[in-house]
Amino acid sequence: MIETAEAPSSRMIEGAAPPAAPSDVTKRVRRGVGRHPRGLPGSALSLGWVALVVVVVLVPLGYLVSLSLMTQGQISAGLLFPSDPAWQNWGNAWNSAIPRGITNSLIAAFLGSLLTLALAVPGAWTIVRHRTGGSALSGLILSPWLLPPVVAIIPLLTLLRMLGLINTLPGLTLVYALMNVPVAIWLLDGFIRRIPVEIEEAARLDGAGELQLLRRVVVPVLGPALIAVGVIVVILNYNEFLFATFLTQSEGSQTVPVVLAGMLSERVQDFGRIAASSLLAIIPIFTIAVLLQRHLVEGLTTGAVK
Amino acid sequence: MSTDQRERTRIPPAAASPPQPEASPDAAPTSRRRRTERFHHRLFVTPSVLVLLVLALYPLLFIAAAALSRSSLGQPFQEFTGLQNLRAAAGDPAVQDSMLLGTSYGLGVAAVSTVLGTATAVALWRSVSSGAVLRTLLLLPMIVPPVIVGILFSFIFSPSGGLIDTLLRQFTSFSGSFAVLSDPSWAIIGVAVADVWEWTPLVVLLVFTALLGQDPEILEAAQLDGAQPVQQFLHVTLPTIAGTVAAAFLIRLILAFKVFDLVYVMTSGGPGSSTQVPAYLIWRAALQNFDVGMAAAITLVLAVVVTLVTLPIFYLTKRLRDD
Amino acid sequence: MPTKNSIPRHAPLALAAVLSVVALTACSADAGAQSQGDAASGDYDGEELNLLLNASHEGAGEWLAEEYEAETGVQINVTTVPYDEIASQLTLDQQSGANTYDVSAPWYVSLGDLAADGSIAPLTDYVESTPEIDVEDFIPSIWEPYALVDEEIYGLPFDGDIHALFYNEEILERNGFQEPPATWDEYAEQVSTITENEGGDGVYGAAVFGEQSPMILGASFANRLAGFGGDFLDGEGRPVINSQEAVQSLEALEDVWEDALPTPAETDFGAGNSAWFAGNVGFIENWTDLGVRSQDPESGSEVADGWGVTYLPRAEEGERPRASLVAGFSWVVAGNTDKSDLAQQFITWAASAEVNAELLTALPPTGIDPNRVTSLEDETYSEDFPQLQEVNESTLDGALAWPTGENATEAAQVLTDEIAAHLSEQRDSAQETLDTVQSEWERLLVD
Repeated sequence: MIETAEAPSSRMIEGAAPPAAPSDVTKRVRRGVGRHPRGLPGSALSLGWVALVVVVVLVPLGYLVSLSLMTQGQISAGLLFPSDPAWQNWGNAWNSAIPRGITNSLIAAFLGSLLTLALAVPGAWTIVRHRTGGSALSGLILSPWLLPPVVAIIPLLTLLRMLGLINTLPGLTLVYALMNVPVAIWLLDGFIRRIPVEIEEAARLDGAGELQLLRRVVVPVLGPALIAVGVIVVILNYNEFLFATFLTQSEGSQTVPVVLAGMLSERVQDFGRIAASSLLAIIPIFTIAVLLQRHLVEGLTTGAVK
Repeated sequence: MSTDQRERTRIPPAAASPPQPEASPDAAPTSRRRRTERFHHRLFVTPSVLVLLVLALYPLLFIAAAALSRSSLGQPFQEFTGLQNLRAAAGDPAVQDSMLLGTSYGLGVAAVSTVLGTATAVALWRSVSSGAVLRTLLLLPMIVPPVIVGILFSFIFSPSGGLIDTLLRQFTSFSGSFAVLSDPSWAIIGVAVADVWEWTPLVVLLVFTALLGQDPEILEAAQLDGAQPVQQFLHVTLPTIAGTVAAAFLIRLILAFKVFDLVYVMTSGGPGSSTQVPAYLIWRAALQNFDVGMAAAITLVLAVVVTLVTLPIFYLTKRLRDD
Repeated sequence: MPTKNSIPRHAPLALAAVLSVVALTACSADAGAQSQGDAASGDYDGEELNLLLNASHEGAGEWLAEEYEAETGVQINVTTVPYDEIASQLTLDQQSGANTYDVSAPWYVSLGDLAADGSIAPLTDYVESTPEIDVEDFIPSIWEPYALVDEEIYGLPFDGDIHALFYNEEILERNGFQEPPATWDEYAEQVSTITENEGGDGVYGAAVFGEQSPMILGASFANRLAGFGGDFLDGEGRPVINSQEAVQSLEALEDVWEDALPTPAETDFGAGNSAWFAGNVGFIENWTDLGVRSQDPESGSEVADGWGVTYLPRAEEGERPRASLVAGFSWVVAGNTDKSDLAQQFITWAASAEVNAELLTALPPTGIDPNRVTSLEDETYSEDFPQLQEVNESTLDGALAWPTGENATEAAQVLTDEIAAHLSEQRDSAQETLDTVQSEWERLLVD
């Protein structure tokens, strides 16, 4: 396990070809100065393929929208589009535990993400710059990410109990904060490497201590990277299901995936309401992703493959 | 410490404008300063180390202890049983089947995602200039919570009024029922389709970025040399992105090995045991059958399997990236 | 049934009564198991009690919370989880020391595992010293499986939950059937005819609960096992799951697998019930409370007044009906609660005949079935739902119950898995499938 864990965090980055700095890439992308071959024979095929991919991505989501406006009768009758939009599905979804679940999810996701960054940034910087902890630490750091998280449930429950945080939103937030520290360190690694060392050394010469260096120099320079990694962690938290099932059963603390999974075991099936509820749950996270898409893409591409 | 920095930075030492801290003539304050620096560095990594203790070491010890004892959900560690659980887990056909299923599912899903993802990235790269809109679109499947992806694809595959069923009835003469998720051989494919839909965009984004990051001069040189587009792709582009593709494959493999939410929502491991992937099997042993000792033993078996499967791919990735 | 004698009443009732009065007056904070339950007393005014219920009891939970608070001033907080998670949630809650929940109502089959893990508290002393619980009034065939783990009492029956055969009168008529089937063979024949005639229009002979869960597919199998006169365990508690009757039951399930609402393997409560309410299936085996809901237009039922209900079919015509206790639920007190007095008082009240009778006919429907002889014979119930009452009377004698005790949950799961594998054609013959289950059960339940 240890060796595998080492993979993304320490070795991959040392690829011989220095990747283009992210800003270069994005700039080139934005200016549209792609140097890729245009007008080649494959282009029609390429366009066709891209169009197909767009269809494949959108059709399931469109189908969900369609379902959310149909009654169970229309769905069973095999309609693809609502003959008479059943808006009551959305009303029912809105008047259920879903809005509260969304609020809970957002709180746990954002606070958890902020905490994760607070814990991960000093560690990531020190590991990259000073190799504190040696290769053991940088190699091990990703190990918790490799196995299914189900294995950690019982030990974590015991821990939360000791802190008196079971079945509470702060408890779940804390677990999320801890859970994503390894991934955050891994993603931050690529960004930290790109900070020119001179900046840090100049600050050090000005007499800045390590703590000041971190606060006044590293964190501001990392700004966009923090947003990028932060958004990724927010999404991971928002989507998490297994821990949420066991850590937040009380009505007030259930997150939205838990509420949705609960709907599936109801005694009367209502696809329309479940579809509308699912869409309600997706809206906030889609909004965040679309608004911050550039950061998100950069976080994924710079962080995951260096 | 700053020697580290010099080694690891891409800027040559000469380019660093100010003199190095070591050059300071005042030796005593430097060593004191180093000591405080070192103290701070330790302080900075402390949270990460604590996280490792809480998330890795503590569960590991718990699992090891549970695997070696008779442990139920409510009362772990009742009595020491040695290797009994491990032997039972390794010898259980259900566990073996599940490991085999998990491995083929992981490799299959990772391969399909990587091939489709790379093809899409290349197509995207050849047909659009920036792809900003398309990239946003591609983000969508990835950020839909897996529980909802599971619900969505259960609807799509539903034999009574699902998307596929409806399309088949409307556009073909098909009149029976096509129930993907209740067919022992198709169910796992159904889960895989949802998984591929959700995570292939990640591969697209990673490879697309790598394509954009190619050195334009090399590409131009190749064009000037009159290289055919196909040759150009094979000899110039492919080697540049090979490392990224391999890394994407590895990430995808690990994600697929951990699949749980989709199975939980779509098939509950059925029909029979045909979608009983390792994460689901462990969950069931611990939380449905209350046998935490067995669950821990299966986890250890899984750890061995995951290591054996990912290790060669990890080394391949490393070689591709180092070349 | 030996149940009536199974609670030794060594202590004279008078003494028990005196003791409890003393305990009450002496110190109400005393956590002794002796204190007497009197729901109407204001002792616990302002206190709170946390309930963990399965999602299908949400309505019942709300009703109970409201009524109990009105009577006693105790605030009841109800948490609901999916039906297959209730035991693990309760165990994790108790094992981790969180002890959030005071009272729960798990599937009776899980009582053994919960008791073995210390997640639920024994109630024997309390029940023996509290005559008003009126154990004799619980439906006899329900009492033993729903309450006892070995000789110890751990639960009070809450939701009887037997299946009956519901039929859509119009669909049967359209297909020329005057009577619902009396045998499983007739049932298969009618199902196949209806599907053949109307399958193209989306109307099927039956919704067969076949999702791979003990309470769903397991229930469908248990219904047939009851009908064929089989048992899970013999008189000495040894598994007999590969008996001739069991094989016939599995084959009977197989007979309708192809003709049922597509596809049985994906038919859970939601899918099956929805098809029933929409009038798209001729038959459904379901809890008797489905009838209450079928008459309730608010629940979206399109079959109101167009349905009938009868006993589950048998092997031969003319045999006496036999009930199958597929998914009953029992009230339990959490193992580590520090409110055991209040919790005991609450479950005594909630399991009482009066409360059960009101839950039976409450609107919106609560999904609760009779647990008491008295409530089964209740007047309102018999006036509103005479057919349901009649069917439920079959529980009075000789019902089929799942194995209970330690590992019973896993045993039910193993059976369900193997049956599912067989029905999806991953196993050989029905006999071989059940032989496998038999050997697993011998390992799980005997050793």
